[in-house]
Amino acid sequence: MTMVVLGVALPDLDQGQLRSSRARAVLRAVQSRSEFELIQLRTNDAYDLIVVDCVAAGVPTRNAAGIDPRERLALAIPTDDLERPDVFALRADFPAAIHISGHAWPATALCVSEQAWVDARRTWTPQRHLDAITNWLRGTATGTLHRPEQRLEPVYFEPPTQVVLPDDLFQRAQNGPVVLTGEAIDRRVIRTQYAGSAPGSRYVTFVLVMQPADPARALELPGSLGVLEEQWQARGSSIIEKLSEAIRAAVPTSGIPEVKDQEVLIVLVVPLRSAPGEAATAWEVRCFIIPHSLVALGTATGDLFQAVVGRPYCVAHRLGDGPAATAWRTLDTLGCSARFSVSVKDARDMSGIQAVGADDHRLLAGVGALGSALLEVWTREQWGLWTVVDPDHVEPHNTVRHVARQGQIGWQKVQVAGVLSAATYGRKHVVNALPVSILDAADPRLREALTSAKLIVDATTTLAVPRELARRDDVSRVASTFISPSGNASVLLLEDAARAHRVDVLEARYYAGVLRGELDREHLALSPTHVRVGAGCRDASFVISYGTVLRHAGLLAEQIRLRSAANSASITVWSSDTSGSTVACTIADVGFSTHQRGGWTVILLACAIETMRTHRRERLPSETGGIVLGYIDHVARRIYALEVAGAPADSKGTPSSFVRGADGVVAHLEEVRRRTAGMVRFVGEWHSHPRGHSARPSRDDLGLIQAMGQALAQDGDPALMLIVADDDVTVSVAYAPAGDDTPAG
Amino acid sequence: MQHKLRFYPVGNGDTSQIILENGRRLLFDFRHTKTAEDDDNPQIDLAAELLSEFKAAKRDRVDVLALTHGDADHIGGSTEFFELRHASKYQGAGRIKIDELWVPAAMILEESGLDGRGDEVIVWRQEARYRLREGKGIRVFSRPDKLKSWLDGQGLSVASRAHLIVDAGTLVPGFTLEADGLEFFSHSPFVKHVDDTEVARNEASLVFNVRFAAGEMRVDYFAVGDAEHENLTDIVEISEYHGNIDRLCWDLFSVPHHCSYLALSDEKGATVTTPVSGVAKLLKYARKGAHIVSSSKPIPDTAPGYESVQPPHIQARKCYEKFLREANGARLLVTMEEPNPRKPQPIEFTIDEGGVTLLRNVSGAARWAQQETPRAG
Repeated sequence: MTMVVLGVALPDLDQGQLRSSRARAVLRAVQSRSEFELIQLRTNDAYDLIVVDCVAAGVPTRNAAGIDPRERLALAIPTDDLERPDVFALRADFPAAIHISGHAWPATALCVSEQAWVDARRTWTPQRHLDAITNWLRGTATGTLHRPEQRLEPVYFEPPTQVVLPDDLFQRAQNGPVVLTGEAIDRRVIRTQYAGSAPGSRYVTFVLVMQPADPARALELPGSLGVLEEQWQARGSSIIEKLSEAIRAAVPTSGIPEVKDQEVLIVLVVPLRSAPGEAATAWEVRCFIIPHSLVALGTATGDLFQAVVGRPYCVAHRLGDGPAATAWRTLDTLGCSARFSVSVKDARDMSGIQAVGADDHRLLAGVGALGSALLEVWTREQWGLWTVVDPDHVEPHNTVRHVARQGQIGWQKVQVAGVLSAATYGRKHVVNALPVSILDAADPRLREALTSAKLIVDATTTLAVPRELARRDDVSRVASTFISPSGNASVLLLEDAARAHRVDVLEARYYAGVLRGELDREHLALSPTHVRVGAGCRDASFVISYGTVLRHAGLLAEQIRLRSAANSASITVWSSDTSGSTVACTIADVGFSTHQRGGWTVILLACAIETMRTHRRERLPSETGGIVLGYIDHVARRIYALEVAGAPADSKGTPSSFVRGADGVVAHLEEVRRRTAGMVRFVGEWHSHPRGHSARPSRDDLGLIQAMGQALAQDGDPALMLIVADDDVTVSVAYAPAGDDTPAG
Repeated sequence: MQHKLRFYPVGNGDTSQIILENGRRLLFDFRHTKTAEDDDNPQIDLAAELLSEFKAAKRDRVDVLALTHGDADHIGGSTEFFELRHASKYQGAGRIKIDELWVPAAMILEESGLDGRGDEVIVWRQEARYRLREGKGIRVFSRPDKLKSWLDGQGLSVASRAHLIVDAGTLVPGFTLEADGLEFFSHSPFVKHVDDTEVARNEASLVFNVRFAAGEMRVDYFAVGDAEHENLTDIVEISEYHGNIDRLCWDLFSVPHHCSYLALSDEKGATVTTPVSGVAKLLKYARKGAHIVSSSKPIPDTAPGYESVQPPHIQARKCYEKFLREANGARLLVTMEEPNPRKPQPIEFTIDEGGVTLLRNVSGAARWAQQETPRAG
C-alpha cells in the first residue's frame, strides 16, 4: 500500500524528540488508546508528526465510503501552540471523502472539527482529539458524518470578494440563460439583480449552469479563464462554450458599445451530488470576475467584432463549434464567493415558521408602537400576508417607540409599515396599506379585507375596535392585544376560531380575572408618572421604553402566531417584575349568557353567577346580596355584568328579605376602578332568594329596580338587577333616562 | 439485514452468541462461574446477562447450543442454566431450552479422560446420548468407528442416525444463507486415516467456517473452540487439498485456547511466537479489516507476561497482531479488556451490507455517568 511521506523520520519512538508539549501529550494519549497503534515519529518545519494506524471501532470492514478499518494517519501537531492540530490521511488512495479540507499538503487533511479553532482550543484535549479522529472515520465510513443541513464540501475555497445573488436564481437559471446587472457596494461586495440592459452595467453577469459535480478534492481557484476551462474539461464539461453562447445571446443585433470600467462576472451554478448517478442535493455557486469589459471578453472569444472603428460591436458569425479565438485563455479570473438574498422559505426556515398557513392573509389594525413592532417580527419571519390599517400619521414623539424614523414624520403609519416591510427582503409582505380607521364602514377595500383575512389583530389599544368587531358577524377571528399602562404586562384576548367567544366577552372576562385574582391583580393600575402627548384621552402616551415595547412585541408576535394556529379562545396576561422574569396567566374557560332586556343586551358572565351562588350558600336560609360590577356600552347598548361583591357588613338579610348595607362599598368600588384602569364600576344590584323560591322578582324587587333605575337615570345609565335562587337567575334592567318611561324587564 | 455476534467476558473461558436478523440465536459454549456473580469480579455474570437478554427478546430457548468440547472453561455452570431433556432434575422454570445441541462425537463416547473435567461433562454426555437415542434435537460432529460401535451397542443403525451426524468438510443442515443469512462449514472434528488406521484427532473441538450473508455481502468467521497448531495445520491442508480455500478466509477469528502459544507453535518465542507454517497460512487468509477476538484474561505487555506459563501469552498476541497489521486488518480484541479490564462488557460485532462493524463502547465521562460509581467512604 502506497503511503504519502510527510517530513523526516525521527530515530525512534521516544517522546523527548517531539518539540511541543502538546505533541508529547498526544503521543501519550495515542499510547493509551487501543484504537491507535503508534508507527513512527516524524518532523518538519511546522509540525511534530505522530504517525499512527487508527483502527476505529464502528468502521464497517467493507464500507461504501472506502475508509479502511485500519488507516494510517499523521497526527500533525504544530510547534506553535496557538495553531490547530491537523490530521492527515497518509494512504495515497485515501478516498475523496466528503469532509476533507485543503491540499496545501500532498496528503489529505481531515476536517475532524467543525468548530473554529479559537473556540475549539478551549475544550481541546489530546484524548478528545483522538476521539474526534475516530468519530470522523466512523462517521465518514457509515455516511453519518454529515448532518442533513450541513453543506456538502464546496468545489472551491472561499475567496474574499462576495457576490450577492437573487434568491430565486436556481429556478430562473434552470429555465434558460440569465443575465444580471451588478453594482459594487464596496470592493468586497457586488450586489446583483435582474434588470434590462445588462450589457451596459458595471458588472455584466452571466449565470452558467454546469453539469453535476461528485465529491472530490476542492479545486484551486483558477487564475485565468484558460485554467478554469481546463478544470471543467477535466470534469467532462466546458465553461467557455456556455459563456460564448451567453455572450452571443446577450448582445442585441444592433451591437453594443465598449463600456468604460466595465467588468464581466460569471456565476457558475454547480449541482452537487453525493455520488455519481444520485440526484443533486445541493448547489454550489461560485463567481469569477473577468476584469475586462464585455466587448473585450467577446472579442477575445471571437464572439464579437467591430466592423468599423467607432461603431458598436456585433455578434460574429461562427465557424463550427466552440470559440473561434484563443485569446480568452489568458484573461484573468478573480474568484468570488456567492451569497444569496433571503427567500421567503429561508426566512421561514430560519425562524422556525411552518409553511402551513404562513401565506394566509391577515389584517393588522393599528400600527403604532406595538403594532409596528409586531409587523416587524412577522415580516422577518415572513408569517402572513398583511393588510395594515391605521388612520394616523407619524408624529414627532412616535419615533421614541415606533419603527418610524425622523424622516418619516408626517407619513401615514401604514405607509411606513409597508415601506419598511418591503425593504426587509425586497418583496411585498404588506399587500394592503389602508390609511383609514378599522371602523370605517365605507371603505370597500377594508370591508373586503375584514372578511377575507384569516385573523384580525387589533393593536389599536382602543375600546371601540374590539367592541365593534365583536358585534360584527361578517368579520374574521379577532385577536386583541395591548401593553398595560405601566408597561409591565401585555395582554392577549384571542377569539376562538368559530367566534363563539367574541372579543368583547373576553374583555369582560379579562377584567373579572383581574378582580378575582386569576390574572395579575395590579397590572392595569396606572403608573403615577405618565406623560401625556396629544389631545385625546386615548392618546395618552405612557412612560414605556422602546425596549419594553420590543419585549412585549416579541412575546406577543410569537404567541399570536402559535395560538392562532389552534381553534380555542384564550385570555392571557404576561406580567413581568423588575428582575425581568415573566409570568403568564391564562383563562381558557369563558362562560357567559346573553339576555335581551328592554333594548339592552346584558352579557352575564358565568363567573359572576358562580360568585352569587357561593355567597347565597353561605348565608342560607337568609337572603344575601350586594353590588354588581361591570360596565355599560351605550353604543352597543350592552351591559357587561362580570362580577358581584358580597354583602357589606351592615347589610340585613332574613329568610324573606335583604337590605344591602353600605359599609366599605365606596372604597371597594374605588379599588375596582383602580385595578381596572377605571373601566369597571357599579352597574346594579344582586340578591338571593331563599330555598324553594324562584328567582322571579317579587313586588319588593320590582320596587327596588324601579328606584335604582331612577337613580341611575341621573347618569343616563340603565340599572341592572340580578336575582339568584336554587336553580335559576333572573336578569332585570331598568332604563329611565330623563323624559323616558321606566320599563322594567 | 443485520446479524450480531457477541463475545462475553468470562475470564479464561469461552462464550459467544450469534443473533440472526431473523431472530434465531446460537450459543457457542457457556461458562458461568459463581465468583462472577460478585459485583467486584470483572467477569460478567453470564447467567444473569443471558437471562436478561433472553427476557428482553421474549425467548426461553436457543436454536442451537454448540459445545465445542467438554472442558470446564467451555461448559462451566451450563447444566444449571439449560433445560436438559434426559432427567427431570435439569428441568423447570427459568431454564433455557435447547432446540438443537451440537457436540463433537467425542462427547458422546468419552468413557475416560474425564480427569479434572468435573461432573458437568458427564451430564452433557448423558444428555447428548439421550437426544441421539431419541433421534432429535442433536447434531453430532464426525463419525469415528467408535461412534458406529456405540450406536450398535444401543441397537441403533448408523443409517438411522446419519441425518444427525455432520462430517467435516460439509455444511451443517438447518441453516442456509438464503433463509437465515448464515451457514456453517464444519472443519473439525474429522477422522483422519493414516495407512488405513484411524488416527485420534476426533477429540478435537468443533471448528467452523461460519459464513454470514447480508444482501450481497458475505462475511466469514473462523470459529475455533480449542485447537492446537497440529489441528489447525490439518484443517488448512485438508481445506486447501479439497479446494475449500474460501472456507479458510476470515473477517473474524476467535483464537483458540485463550491466546495460548500452543495454537501457533510448540515454541513460545521470546517476544513473539513464530507460528508453524500451516497456522501462518491460516493467519494470512485474513481479509482487510479483519478482527481477532481472544476470549481470555487481559494480555498486558509487561515483563511478567512474557514468563507466564498459563495462557494468555503476550507472545501469541504479538504474533496475531503482526499478522493483522500485515493483512491491513483491524484489531485483536481481548474479551476481558473491552472497554476496560475493570468492568469488561460483551464485545459485539454487527454484520450487515457494510461488512463487519465493531460496536463502539463509549468511554470517559459518557461511560462514567451511565454506570454506578465505586463506593465512597
